[in-house]
Amino acid sequence: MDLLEKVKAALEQYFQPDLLKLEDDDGISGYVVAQQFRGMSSLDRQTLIDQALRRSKEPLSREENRRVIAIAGLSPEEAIASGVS
Amino acid sequence: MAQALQLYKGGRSYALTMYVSGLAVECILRAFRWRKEPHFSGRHDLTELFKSSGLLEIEEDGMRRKGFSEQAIQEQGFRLKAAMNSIVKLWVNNLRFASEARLRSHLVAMGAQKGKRGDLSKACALELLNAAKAIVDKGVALWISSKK
Repeated sequence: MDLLEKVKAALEQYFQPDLLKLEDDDGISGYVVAQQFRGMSSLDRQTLIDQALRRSKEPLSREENRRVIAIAGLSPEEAIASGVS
Repeated sequence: MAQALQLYKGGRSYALTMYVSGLAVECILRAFRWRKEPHFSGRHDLTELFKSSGLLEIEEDGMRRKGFSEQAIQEQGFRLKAAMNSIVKLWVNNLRFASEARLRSHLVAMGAQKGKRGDLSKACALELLNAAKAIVDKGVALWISSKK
């Protein structure tokens, strides 16, 4: 399983997201859109994303973790408002 | 960022405060990106731009060279990622056209009023301003230190 698939699997399992939009081009970036992010601070969102990656069935190595550069957690309403979905 | 702060302090132009804050982030990220590839144009996708700017890696590599612990490096990365999350959540390019009333309805539509008291536009403008400042200040510091 490559890194992108591992990250997608971890986030899908943890959040059951409405939308998962990730790309791996010299590192992983993108969006996870899930109801859990409603009313949540950005620090808490990143904590949750971090937890999802650490608690995955296929945990990421330190090197793989460093390649996960920017995943923004958005609620479904925020995703619509910002044009992500 | 100084202009964004002035607009915020003026208390009447939160839409423009938010637009200018996000624009400052886009400018610093594009500066780093252009240093790698001068003909890069790209989209207004700040998550992608943050990655391709290499700002996070430059910061982490610099901290490693200075002997910071892996935990301290991770915590700094975490702070920058959280700042970017706020920016991506709150900034849209067409804020430049928005009236204050339009901004407020945009924020309500995205559920931003949850857990916030008082002036919603002011609170969101401050969140975006602070997040943008974190990224821009770090970017400027890294840019200057790379020129020395």
